Amino acid sequence: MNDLVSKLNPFNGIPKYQVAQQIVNLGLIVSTALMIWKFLIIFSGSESPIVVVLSGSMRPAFDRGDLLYLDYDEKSPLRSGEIVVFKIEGKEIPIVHRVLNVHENAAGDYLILTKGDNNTVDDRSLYNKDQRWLTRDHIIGRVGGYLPYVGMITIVMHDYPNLKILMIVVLTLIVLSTRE
Amino acid sequence: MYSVTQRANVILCFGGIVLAGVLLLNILSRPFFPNEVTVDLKLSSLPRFNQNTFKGPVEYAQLVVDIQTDLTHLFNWNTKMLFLYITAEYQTDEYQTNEIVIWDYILKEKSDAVINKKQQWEYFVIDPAMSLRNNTVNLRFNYNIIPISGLVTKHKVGSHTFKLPSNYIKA
Repeated sequence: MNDLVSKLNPFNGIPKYQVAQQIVNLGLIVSTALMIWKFLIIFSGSESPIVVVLSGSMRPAFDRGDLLYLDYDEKSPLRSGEIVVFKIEGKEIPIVHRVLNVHENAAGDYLILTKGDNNTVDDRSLYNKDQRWLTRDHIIGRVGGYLPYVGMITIVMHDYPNLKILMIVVLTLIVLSTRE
Repeated sequence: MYSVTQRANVILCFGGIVLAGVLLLNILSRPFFPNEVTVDLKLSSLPRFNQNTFKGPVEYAQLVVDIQTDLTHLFNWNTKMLFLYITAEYQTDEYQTNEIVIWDYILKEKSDAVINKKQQWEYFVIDPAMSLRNNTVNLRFNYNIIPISGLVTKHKVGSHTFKLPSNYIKA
């Protein structure tokens, strides 16, 4: 029994210092990813610079699983036809839709109405009750770049949450037990 | 030294770098494609112009437009589709900038890119400030280029200016 465990144990035969080194390596990978993300946030000005499209309401431009790069400059004016990502109070998931109407006053206050390309009507039914317009505060970014399919893995993990845990465990084991 | 996972890792990494390089070249190649667009845009008719109550009083106008343009040369190796739209732009005392989309169109095929459409209308111009009468409206033609991958860009060309009447038109 002990023999079997030692055979299955991926860390068997690796010196302790090397295991420690692999843990440091794993930490490096995680912190590099975090650094890239934080750098993107500063560079783009958007609080979430990369989003995955979760619905088909912008078909055929963007489909489920496509990756979007958002940039956001609070000072630059927002105009009709721009594809923006907005978040409604009390709703978890941000929405990627196109700006249909814009009214802007001298103080820079906005009334914004949006619509999905693939939807037949505007978004008023998606907003909160008695909410007629979006304001600038609802907008979290505008679409600047597009990569198809790359976000598909996120969609799969979103649909099967257990897969996420399984993947993290497997990846961690691989990284930790790699022999040079 | 050379295990299967290591080779797979190297191949995947190198493939990713090559794809990213090709994407970068693709984005850099865009300025070399022609992007001059001329549009013939004009107001065809104004069948409805009135006021109504929609969670508060609003004025609405139905702008029917004629549009003629050739966008064939905008289809290159990185064009997935074009999103065309016409905006009505005007100023009121309350809101200095108003941009209302009155018509949009999804263009996916290069063979359909010669556009000659008469009497087009999709959305009302709805003004919450009730200031459409006697106002000058500027019609603009816009398009978005949605790439196969890369940057999404927005362009504005062509204009047609007209004045709305001082009286409502009842259909």
